[in-house]
Amino acid sequence: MKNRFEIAKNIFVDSVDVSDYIELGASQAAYRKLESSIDKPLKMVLLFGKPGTGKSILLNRITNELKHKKEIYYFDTPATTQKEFFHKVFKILTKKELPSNAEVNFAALVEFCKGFRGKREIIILLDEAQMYDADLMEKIRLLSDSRAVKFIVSLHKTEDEDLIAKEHFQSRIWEVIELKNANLEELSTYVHKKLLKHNLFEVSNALKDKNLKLIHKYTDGNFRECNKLMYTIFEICEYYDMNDPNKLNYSKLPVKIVEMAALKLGYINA
Amino acid sequence: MLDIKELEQQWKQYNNKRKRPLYIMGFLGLLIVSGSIFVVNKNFDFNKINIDNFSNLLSVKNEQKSIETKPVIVKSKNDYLLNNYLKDMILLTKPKTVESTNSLTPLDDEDLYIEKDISKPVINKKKISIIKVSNNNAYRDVERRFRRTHNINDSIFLANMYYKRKNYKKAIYWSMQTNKLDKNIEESWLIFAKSKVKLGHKNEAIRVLKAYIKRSNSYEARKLLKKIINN
Repeated sequence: MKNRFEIAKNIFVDSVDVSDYIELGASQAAYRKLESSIDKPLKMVLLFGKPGTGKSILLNRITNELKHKKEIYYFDTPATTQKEFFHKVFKILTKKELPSNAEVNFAALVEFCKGFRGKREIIILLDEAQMYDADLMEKIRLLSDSRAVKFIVSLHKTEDEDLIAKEHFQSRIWEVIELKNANLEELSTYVHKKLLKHNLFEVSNALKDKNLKLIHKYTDGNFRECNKLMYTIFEICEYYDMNDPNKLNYSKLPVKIVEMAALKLGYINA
Repeated sequence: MLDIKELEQQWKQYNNKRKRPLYIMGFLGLLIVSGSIFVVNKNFDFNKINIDNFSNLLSVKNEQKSIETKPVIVKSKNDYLLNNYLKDMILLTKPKTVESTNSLTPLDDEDLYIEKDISKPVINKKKISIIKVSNNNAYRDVERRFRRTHNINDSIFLANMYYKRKNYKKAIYWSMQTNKLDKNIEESWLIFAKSKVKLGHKNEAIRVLKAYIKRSNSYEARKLLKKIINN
Protein backbone atom coordinates (compact mmCIF):
# COMPACT_ATOMS: atom_id res chain seq x y z
CA MET A 1 0.00 0.00 0.00
CA LYS A 2 1.28 3.42 -0.92
CA ASN A 3 2.29 5.83 1.79
CA ARG A 4 -0.15 8.77 1.98
CA PHE A 5 2.68 11.25 1.49
CA GLU A 6 3.82 9.38 -1.61
CA ILE A 7 0.33 9.81 -3.05
CA ALA A 8 0.27 13.47 -2.03
CA LYS A 9 3.69 13.98 -3.62
CA ASN A 10 2.59 12.53 -6.93
CA ILE A 11 -0.50 14.73 -7.06
CA PHE A 12 1.79 17.72 -7.39
CA VAL A 13 3.87 16.40 -10.28
CA ASP A 14 3.63 19.27 -12.75
CA SER A 15 1.49 18.30 -15.72
CA VAL A 16 -1.00 19.75 -18.18
CA ASP A 17 -3.40 16.87 -17.72
CA VAL A 18 -6.96 18.22 -18.01
CA SER A 19 -8.19 15.78 -15.37
CA ASP A 20 -5.89 17.57 -12.89
CA TYR A 21 -7.53 20.91 -13.61
CA ILE A 22 -8.61 22.71 -10.45
CA GLU A 23 -11.31 25.29 -10.89
CA LEU A 24 -10.59 28.57 -9.19
CA GLY A 25 -12.40 31.88 -9.46
CA ALA A 26 -9.73 33.55 -11.57
CA SER A 27 -9.05 30.60 -13.88
CA GLN A 28 -12.78 30.10 -14.39
CA ALA A 29 -13.13 33.76 -15.38
CA ALA A 30 -10.22 33.44 -17.83
CA TYR A 31 -11.77 30.31 -19.30
CA ARG A 32 -15.13 32.01 -19.85
CA LYS A 33 -13.41 35.03 -21.40
CA LEU A 34 -11.45 32.80 -23.77
CA GLU A 35 -14.58 30.85 -24.68
CA SER A 36 -16.49 34.03 -25.50
CA SER A 37 -13.50 35.41 -27.48
CA ILE A 38 -13.57 32.31 -29.63
CA ASP A 39 -17.20 32.99 -30.47
CA LYS A 40 -16.53 36.62 -31.41
CA PRO A 41 -15.44 37.48 -34.96
CA LEU A 42 -11.92 38.23 -33.81
CA LYS A 43 -8.86 37.28 -35.78
CA MET A 44 -6.34 36.84 -33.00
CA VAL A 45 -6.56 36.49 -29.26
CA LEU A 46 -3.57 36.89 -26.99
CA LEU A 47 -3.32 34.86 -23.82
CA PHE A 48 -0.39 35.88 -21.72
CA GLY A 49 1.07 35.58 -18.24
CA LYS A 50 4.20 34.52 -16.41
CA PRO A 51 5.34 30.90 -16.79
CA GLY A 52 3.36 28.66 -14.46
CA THR A 53 0.17 30.72 -14.33
CA GLY A 54 -1.88 27.99 -16.06
CA LYS A 55 -1.86 29.04 -19.74
CA SER A 56 -1.13 25.60 -21.16
CA ILE A 57 -3.69 23.80 -19.03
CA LEU A 58 -6.28 26.41 -19.99
CA LEU A 59 -5.57 25.85 -23.71
CA ASN A 60 -5.71 22.11 -23.14
CA ARG A 61 -9.02 22.39 -21.37
CA ILE A 62 -10.61 24.56 -24.05
CA THR A 63 -9.40 22.17 -26.77
CA ASN A 64 -10.88 19.27 -24.86
CA GLU A 65 -14.21 21.01 -24.31
CA LEU A 66 -14.67 22.29 -27.86
CA LYS A 67 -13.10 19.53 -29.96
CA HIS A 68 -16.47 17.97 -30.73
CA LYS A 69 -18.16 21.29 -31.50
CA LYS A 70 -15.57 23.22 -33.48
CA GLU A 71 -12.53 22.68 -35.69
CA ILE A 72 -10.00 23.40 -33.00
CA TYR A 73 -6.30 22.44 -33.04
CA TYR A 74 -3.72 22.80 -30.30
CA PHE A 75 -0.02 23.26 -31.16
CA ASP A 76 1.54 22.49 -27.78
CA THR A 77 5.15 22.73 -28.89
CA PRO A 78 6.35 25.39 -31.29
CA ALA A 79 7.50 24.25 -34.73
CA THR A 80 11.25 24.50 -35.08
CA THR A 81 11.09 25.89 -38.63
CA GLN A 82 8.56 27.75 -40.75
CA LYS A 83 8.49 24.76 -43.09
CA GLU A 84 7.40 22.46 -40.28
CA PHE A 85 4.78 24.96 -39.09
CA PHE A 86 3.19 25.31 -42.53
CA HIS A 87 3.25 21.56 -43.05
CA LYS A 88 1.09 21.27 -39.91
CA VAL A 89 -1.23 24.09 -41.04
CA PHE A 90 -1.50 22.58 -44.53
CA LYS A 91 -2.54 19.25 -43.03
CA ILE A 92 -5.22 20.94 -40.91
CA LEU A 93 -6.64 22.96 -43.78
CA THR A 94 -6.56 20.34 -46.51
CA LYS A 95 -6.68 17.16 -44.38
CA LYS A 96 -3.86 15.88 -46.57
CA GLU A 97 -0.22 15.15 -45.87
CA LEU A 98 2.34 17.19 -47.76
CA PRO A 99 5.31 15.22 -49.14
CA SER A 100 8.33 15.80 -46.92
CA ASN A 101 10.39 17.20 -49.79
CA ALA A 102 7.69 19.76 -50.72
CA GLU A 103 7.21 23.28 -49.37
CA VAL A 104 3.98 25.20 -48.87
CA ASN A 105 3.34 28.11 -51.22
CA PHE A 106 2.29 30.68 -48.64
CA ALA A 107 0.44 33.02 -51.02
CA ALA A 108 -1.57 30.08 -52.36
CA LEU A 109 -2.33 28.96 -48.81
CA VAL A 110 -3.78 32.39 -47.95
CA GLU A 111 -5.91 32.33 -51.10
CA PHE A 112 -7.05 28.82 -50.20
CA CYS A 113 -8.14 30.06 -46.78
CA LYS A 114 -10.05 32.97 -48.28
CA GLY A 115 -11.87 30.41 -50.37
CA PHE A 116 -13.62 28.78 -47.44
CA ARG A 117 -14.37 31.98 -45.49
CA GLY A 118 -17.85 31.67 -44.01
CA LYS A 119 -17.99 27.94 -44.69
CA ARG A 120 -15.45 26.66 -42.19
CA GLU A 121 -14.03 28.28 -39.08
CA ILE A 122 -10.73 26.91 -37.93
CA ILE A 123 -9.24 27.77 -34.54
CA ILE A 124 -5.55 27.15 -33.94
CA LEU A 125 -4.12 27.47 -30.43
CA LEU A 126 -0.41 28.29 -30.39
CA ASP A 127 1.30 27.59 -27.08
CA GLU A 128 4.75 29.01 -26.27
CA ALA A 129 4.39 31.47 -29.15
CA GLN A 130 7.27 33.60 -27.90
CA MET A 131 9.44 30.98 -29.64
CA TYR A 132 8.14 31.98 -33.09
CA ASP A 133 10.17 34.58 -34.96
CA ALA A 134 8.75 37.90 -36.15
CA ASP A 135 8.61 36.76 -39.78
CA LEU A 136 6.50 33.74 -38.94
CA MET A 137 4.25 35.83 -36.68
CA GLU A 138 3.66 38.18 -39.59
CA LYS A 139 2.64 35.24 -41.79
CA ILE A 140 0.32 34.01 -39.03
CA ARG A 141 -1.22 37.47 -39.00
CA LEU A 142 -1.76 37.33 -42.78
CA LEU A 143 -3.43 33.95 -42.43
CA SER A 144 -5.72 35.30 -39.70
CA ASP A 145 -6.61 38.23 -42.00
CA SER A 146 -8.28 35.70 -44.27
CA ARG A 147 -10.93 35.45 -41.48
CA ALA A 148 -11.16 31.74 -42.00
CA VAL A 149 -8.49 30.86 -39.44
CA LYS A 150 -8.47 32.28 -35.93
CA PHE A 151 -5.33 32.12 -33.82
CA ILE A 152 -5.19 32.02 -30.02
CA VAL A 153 -1.63 32.94 -29.18
CA SER A 154 -0.22 32.05 -25.78
CA LEU A 155 2.91 33.89 -24.65
CA HIS A 156 5.13 34.20 -21.61
CA LYS A 157 5.19 37.56 -20.01
CA THR A 158 8.70 38.40 -18.94
CA GLU A 159 9.86 41.08 -16.53
CA ASP A 160 12.04 43.00 -18.97
CA GLU A 161 9.92 42.73 -22.06
CA ASP A 162 6.33 43.85 -22.37
CA LEU A 163 5.11 41.55 -25.08
CA ILE A 164 1.88 43.34 -25.83
CA ALA A 165 3.98 46.29 -26.91
CA LYS A 166 5.63 44.22 -29.61
CA GLU A 167 4.82 45.63 -33.00
CA HIS A 168 2.96 42.67 -34.46
CA PHE A 169 0.78 42.29 -31.39
CA GLN A 170 0.07 45.96 -30.80
CA SER A 171 -1.96 46.40 -33.96
CA ARG A 172 -3.30 42.89 -34.55
CA ILE A 173 -4.47 41.45 -31.29
CA TRP A 174 -8.01 42.41 -30.55
CA GLU A 175 -8.56 40.62 -27.32
CA VAL A 176 -6.04 40.21 -24.52
CA ILE A 177 -6.47 37.76 -21.64
CA GLU A 178 -3.92 37.95 -18.87
CA LEU A 179 -3.35 35.16 -16.38
CA LYS A 180 -1.85 36.18 -13.06
CA ASN A 181 -0.31 34.39 -10.11
CA ALA A 182 -2.76 33.27 -7.45
CA ASN A 183 -3.40 35.22 -4.27
CA LEU A 184 -3.14 33.47 -0.91
CA GLU A 185 -6.79 32.46 -0.82
CA GLU A 186 -6.71 31.02 -4.35
CA LEU A 187 -3.48 29.15 -3.70
CA SER A 188 -4.91 27.66 -0.48
CA THR A 189 -8.03 26.53 -2.32
CA TYR A 190 -5.86 25.06 -5.09
CA VAL A 191 -3.75 23.01 -2.66
CA HIS A 192 -6.72 21.83 -0.57
CA LYS A 193 -8.83 20.93 -3.60
CA LYS A 194 -5.98 18.95 -5.14
CA LEU A 195 -5.56 16.89 -1.98
CA LEU A 196 -9.30 16.44 -1.37
CA LYS A 197 -9.77 15.30 -4.95
CA HIS A 198 -7.66 12.30 -4.00
CA ASN A 199 -9.36 11.84 -0.60
CA LEU A 200 -6.27 12.95 1.32
CA PHE A 201 -8.32 14.92 3.79
CA GLU A 202 -6.02 14.26 6.77
CA VAL A 203 -3.03 15.56 4.82
CA SER A 204 -5.12 18.53 3.70
CA ASN A 205 -6.10 19.29 7.29
CA ALA A 206 -2.50 19.13 8.43
CA LEU A 207 -1.74 22.11 6.19
CA LYS A 208 -2.45 25.10 8.40
CA ASP A 209 -2.73 28.79 7.48
CA LYS A 210 0.85 29.40 8.61
CA ASN A 211 2.15 26.76 6.19
CA LEU A 212 0.09 28.12 3.31
CA LYS A 213 1.20 31.70 3.96
CA LEU A 214 4.79 30.52 3.82
CA ILE A 215 4.17 28.51 0.64
CA HIS A 216 2.55 31.56 -0.96
CA LYS A 217 5.44 33.75 0.15
CA TYR A 218 8.06 31.43 -1.34
CA THR A 219 6.23 30.72 -4.62
CA ASP A 220 4.63 34.15 -5.10
CA GLY A 221 1.38 32.33 -5.93
CA ASN A 222 2.82 30.70 -9.05
CA PHE A 223 1.15 27.32 -9.65
CA ARG A 224 4.21 25.65 -11.17
CA GLU A 225 6.44 26.78 -8.31
CA CYS A 226 3.76 25.75 -5.83
CA ASN A 227 3.62 22.27 -7.38
CA LYS A 228 7.40 21.99 -7.08
CA LEU A 229 7.40 23.10 -3.46
CA MET A 230 4.48 20.87 -2.47
CA TYR A 231 6.17 17.91 -4.16
CA THR A 232 9.37 18.48 -2.16
CA ILE A 233 7.44 19.04 1.10
CA PHE A 234 5.69 15.70 0.74
CA GLU A 235 8.92 14.03 -0.34
CA ILE A 236 10.46 15.10 2.98
CA CYS A 237 7.33 13.98 4.88
CA GLU A 238 7.49 10.63 3.11
CA TYR A 239 11.11 10.19 4.24
CA TYR A 240 10.32 11.04 7.87
CA ASP A 241 7.21 8.87 7.84
CA MET A 242 9.26 5.88 6.79
CA ASN A 243 12.53 6.51 8.62
CA ASP A 244 11.99 8.90 11.52
CA PRO A 245 8.28 9.34 12.39
CA ASN A 246 9.13 11.16 15.66
CA LYS A 247 10.01 14.21 13.62
CA LEU A 248 6.62 14.39 11.98
CA ASN A 249 3.49 15.89 13.51
CA TYR A 250 0.66 14.26 11.59
CA SER A 251 -1.97 16.78 12.65
CA LYS A 252 0.05 19.85 11.80
CA LEU A 253 2.73 20.14 9.15
CA PRO A 254 5.85 21.50 10.86
CA VAL A 255 7.03 24.84 9.46
CA LYS A 256 10.54 23.38 9.55
CA ILE A 257 9.61 20.97 6.74
CA VAL A 258 8.28 23.80 4.55
CA GLU A 259 11.52 25.70 5.18
CA MET A 260 13.63 22.63 4.42
CA ALA A 261 11.79 22.21 1.09
CA ALA A 262 12.32 25.91 0.34
CA LEU A 263 16.03 25.49 1.08
CA LYS A 264 16.21 22.49 -1.20
CA LEU A 265 14.62 24.44 -4.07
CA GLY A 266 16.70 27.56 -3.43
CA TYR A 267 13.85 29.91 -2.40
CA ILE A 268 15.88 30.66 0.74
CA ASN A 269 19.55 30.21 1.53
CA ALA A 270 21.29 28.83 4.58
CA MET B 1 16.58 11.11 -3.66
CA LEU B 2 16.77 13.70 -0.91
CA ASP B 3 19.78 13.95 1.35
CA ILE B 4 17.80 14.68 4.52
CA LYS B 5 20.83 14.87 6.83
CA GLU B 6 22.40 17.57 4.71
CA LEU B 7 19.06 19.36 4.42
CA GLU B 8 18.64 19.30 8.19
CA GLN B 9 22.13 20.70 8.56
CA GLN B 10 21.30 23.47 6.11
CA TRP B 11 18.09 24.22 8.00
CA LYS B 12 20.05 24.52 11.28
CA GLN B 13 22.38 27.03 9.63
CA TYR B 14 19.40 28.90 8.19
CA ASN B 15 17.66 28.96 11.56
CA ASN B 16 20.77 30.26 13.32
CA LYS B 17 21.23 32.91 10.64
CA ARG B 18 17.60 33.96 11.03
CA LYS B 19 17.92 34.24 14.82
CA ARG B 20 21.25 36.05 14.73
CA PRO B 21 19.77 39.59 14.64
CA LEU B 22 17.61 38.68 17.65
CA TYR B 23 20.66 37.52 19.60
CA ILE B 24 22.54 40.70 18.68
CA MET B 25 19.58 42.90 19.65
CA GLY B 26 19.22 41.03 22.94
CA PHE B 27 22.90 41.32 23.67
CA LEU B 28 22.92 45.04 22.85
CA GLY B 29 19.87 45.58 25.03
CA LEU B 30 21.56 43.79 27.90
CA LEU B 31 24.68 45.87 27.35
CA ILE B 32 22.74 49.14 27.41
CA VAL B 33 20.80 48.23 30.54
CA SER B 34 23.86 47.01 32.46
CA GLY B 35 25.84 50.07 31.24
CA SER B 36 23.21 52.47 32.51
CA ILE B 37 23.09 50.65 35.85
CA PHE B 38 26.84 50.87 36.09
CA VAL B 39 26.76 54.64 35.39
CA VAL B 40 24.06 55.17 38.03
CA ASN B 41 26.09 53.23 40.58
CA LYS B 42 29.33 55.03 39.75
CA ASN B 43 27.86 58.51 40.15
CA PHE B 44 26.23 57.61 43.40
CA ASP B 45 27.60 59.60 46.36
CA PHE B 46 26.63 58.03 49.67
CA ASN B 47 27.48 61.16 51.68
CA LYS B 48 25.02 63.33 49.79
CA ILE B 49 22.00 61.16 49.82
CA ASN B 50 19.19 60.99 52.29
CA ILE B 51 17.08 57.98 53.22
CA ASP B 52 14.38 58.73 50.69
CA ASN B 53 16.88 58.65 47.83
CA PHE B 54 18.26 55.34 49.00
CA SER B 55 14.91 53.70 49.13
CA ASN B 56 14.32 54.93 45.58
CA LEU B 57 17.56 53.31 44.54
CA LEU B 58 16.53 50.10 46.23
CA SER B 59 13.31 49.90 44.34
CA VAL B 60 15.20 50.38 41.09
CA LYS B 61 17.55 47.57 42.06
CA ASN B 62 14.70 45.24 42.86
CA GLU B 63 13.20 45.79 39.45
CA GLN B 64 16.47 45.06 37.70
CA LYS B 65 17.31 41.98 39.74
CA SER B 66 17.38 39.64 36.79
CA ILE B 67 19.83 41.77 34.79
CA GLU B 68 22.36 42.83 37.41
CA THR B 69 24.70 40.08 38.50
CA LYS B 70 27.51 41.90 40.28
CA PRO B 71 27.01 42.30 44.01
CA VAL B 72 27.02 45.89 45.30
CA ILE B 73 29.81 46.40 47.82
CA VAL B 74 29.61 49.39 50.12
CA LYS B 75 33.06 50.61 51.06
CA SER B 76 32.55 53.23 53.85
CA LYS B 77 31.79 50.68 56.50
CA ASN B 78 32.41 52.93 59.53
CA ASP B 79 30.13 55.70 58.56
CA TYR B 80 27.25 55.87 61.00
CA LEU B 81 24.82 57.36 58.52
CA LEU B 82 25.70 54.72 55.98
CA ASN B 83 25.03 51.98 58.52
CA ASN B 84 21.58 53.40 59.02
CA TYR B 85 20.98 53.28 55.30
CA LEU B 86 22.25 49.75 55.17
CA LYS B 87 20.00 48.77 58.00
CA ASP B 88 17.05 50.01 55.98
CA MET B 89 18.33 48.19 52.96
CA ILE B 90 18.85 44.91 54.77
CA LEU B 91 15.45 45.19 56.37
CA LEU B 92 14.02 44.86 52.93
CA THR B 93 16.22 42.09 51.65
CA LYS B 94 17.25 40.10 54.75
CA PRO B 95 14.74 40.65 57.53
CA LYS B 96 16.04 37.84 59.77
CA THR B 97 19.57 39.29 60.02
CA VAL B 98 18.23 42.65 61.05
CA GLU B 99 16.16 41.19 63.84
CA SER B 100 19.25 39.84 65.57
CA THR B 101 21.50 42.90 65.16
CA ASN B 102 21.45 46.31 66.67
CA SER B 103 20.99 49.14 64.26
CA LEU B 104 24.23 50.80 65.45
CA THR B 105 26.36 47.64 65.40
CA PRO B 106 28.92 47.63 62.58
CA LEU B 107 28.04 45.04 60.01
CA ASP B 108 30.12 42.15 58.68
CA ASP B 109 31.36 42.11 55.13
CA GLU B 110 28.73 39.54 54.22
CA ASP B 111 26.00 41.85 55.39
CA LEU B 112 27.13 44.47 52.95
CA TYR B 113 26.04 42.42 50.00
CA ILE B 114 22.65 42.47 48.48
CA GLU B 115 21.91 38.90 47.64
CA LYS B 116 20.95 38.36 44.09
CA ASP B 117 19.24 35.39 42.61
CA ILE B 118 21.47 34.44 39.73
CA SER B 119 20.16 30.95 39.23
CA LYS B 120 19.69 29.90 35.64
CA PRO B 121 16.34 30.71 34.06
CA VAL B 122 14.07 27.75 33.50
CA ILE B 123 13.83 26.88 29.84
CA ASN B 124 10.62 25.34 28.72
CA LYS B 125 11.60 22.72 26.18
CA LYS B 126 8.99 22.19 23.51
CA LYS B 127 8.01 18.60 23.20
CA ILE B 128 7.22 17.20 19.84
CA SER B 129 3.87 15.57 20.22
CA ILE B 130 2.89 12.89 17.79
CA ILE B 131 -0.83 12.74 17.68
CA LYS B 132 -2.42 10.66 15.06
CA VAL B 133 -5.57 12.42 13.97
CA SER B 134 -8.62 10.30 14.36
CA ASN B 135 -11.09 10.32 11.52
CA ASN B 136 -13.66 12.05 13.74
CA ASN B 137 -11.31 14.93 14.43
CA ALA B 138 -10.50 15.24 10.77
CA TYR B 139 -14.21 15.27 9.90
CA ARG B 140 -14.80 17.98 12.45
CA ASP B 141 -12.03 20.03 10.85
CA VAL B 142 -13.65 19.60 7.44
CA GLU B 143 -17.02 20.58 8.96
CA ARG B 144 -15.49 23.69 10.48
CA ARG B 145 -13.90 24.56 7.16
CA PHE B 146 -17.19 24.06 5.37
CA ARG B 147 -18.93 26.49 7.71
CA ARG B 148 -16.25 29.00 6.86
CA THR B 149 -15.94 28.45 3.09
CA HIS B 150 -19.20 26.74 2.03
CA ASN B 151 -17.21 24.60 -0.36
CA ILE B 152 -19.41 21.96 -1.95
CA ASN B 153 -16.48 19.52 -2.21
CA ASP B 154 -16.32 19.45 1.60
CA SER B 155 -20.04 18.88 2.19
CA ILE B 156 -20.35 16.12 -0.42
CA PHE B 157 -17.22 14.52 0.98
CA LEU B 158 -18.72 14.54 4.50
CA ALA B 159 -22.05 13.15 3.26
CA ASN B 160 -20.19 10.32 1.53
CA MET B 161 -17.93 9.54 4.46
CA TYR B 162 -20.76 9.54 7.03
CA TYR B 163 -22.77 7.25 4.80
CA LYS B 164 -19.84 4.86 4.53
CA ARG B 165 -19.45 4.95 8.31
CA LYS B 166 -23.17 4.15 8.65
CA ASN B 167 -23.94 7.46 10.35
CA TYR B 168 -27.04 7.97 8.21
CA LYS B 169 -28.47 10.96 10.07
CA LYS B 170 -25.30 12.92 9.49
CA ALA B 171 -25.12 11.70 5.90
CA ILE B 172 -28.64 13.12 5.40
CA TYR B 173 -27.65 16.39 7.03
CA TRP B 174 -24.59 16.84 4.81
CA SER B 175 -26.36 15.81 1.63
CA MET B 176 -28.97 18.46 2.47
CA GLN B 177 -26.23 21.05 3.01
CA THR B 178 -24.87 20.17 -0.43
CA ASN B 179 -28.33 20.36 -1.92
CA LYS B 180 -28.90 23.79 -0.42
CA LEU B 181 -25.84 25.06 -2.26
CA ASP B 182 -26.43 23.28 -5.54
CA LYS B 183 -29.58 21.30 -6.38
CA ASN B 184 -27.93 19.64 -9.36
CA ILE B 185 -25.40 17.51 -7.50
CA GLU B 186 -26.71 14.03 -8.18
CA GLU B 187 -24.57 12.41 -5.52
CA SER B 188 -26.30 14.40 -2.76
CA TRP B 189 -29.76 13.22 -3.90
CA LEU B 190 -28.60 9.60 -4.03
CA ILE B 191 -26.91 9.65 -0.61
CA PHE B 192 -30.02 11.32 0.85
CA ALA B 193 -32.30 8.61 -0.56
CA LYS B 194 -30.02 5.72 0.41
CA SER B 195 -29.66 7.06 3.97
CA LYS B 196 -33.44 7.47 4.27
CA VAL B 197 -33.88 3.83 3.24
CA LYS B 198 -31.31 2.73 5.81
CA LEU B 199 -33.24 4.62 8.49
CA GLY B 200 -36.45 2.86 7.45
CA HIS B 201 -38.05 5.83 5.65
CA LYS B 202 -38.47 4.03 2.35
CA ASN B 203 -41.50 6.04 1.18
CA GLU B 204 -39.72 9.32 1.71
CA ALA B 205 -36.70 8.04 -0.25
CA ILE B 206 -38.99 7.03 -3.15
CA ARG B 207 -40.75 10.40 -3.11
CA VAL B 208 -37.41 12.30 -3.20
CA LEU B 209 -36.00 10.13 -5.96
CA LYS B 210 -39.12 10.55 -8.08
CA ALA B 211 -38.86 14.30 -7.68
CA TYR B 212 -35.23 14.22 -8.75
CA ILE B 213 -35.92 11.93 -11.74
CA LYS B 214 -38.65 14.30 -12.88
CA ARG B 215 -36.14 17.10 -12.71
CA SER B 216 -33.09 15.40 -14.24
CA ASN B 217 -34.15 12.05 -15.74
CA SER B 218 -31.01 10.64 -14.14
CA TYR B 219 -30.12 7.06 -15.00
CA GLU B 220 -28.46 6.45 -11.62
CA ALA B 221 -31.52 7.77 -9.77
CA ARG B 222 -33.85 5.55 -11.81
CA LYS B 223 -31.63 2.57 -11.10
CA LEU B 224 -31.64 3.30 -7.37
CA LEU B 225 -35.42 3.84 -7.33
CA LYS B 226 -35.96 0.48 -9.03
CA LYS B 227 -33.70 -1.18 -6.51
CA ILE B 228 -35.53 0.40 -3.55
CA ILE B 229 -38.96 -0.54 -4.90
CA ASN B 230 -37.90 -4.14 -5.61
CA ASN B 231 -36.37 -4.60 -2.17
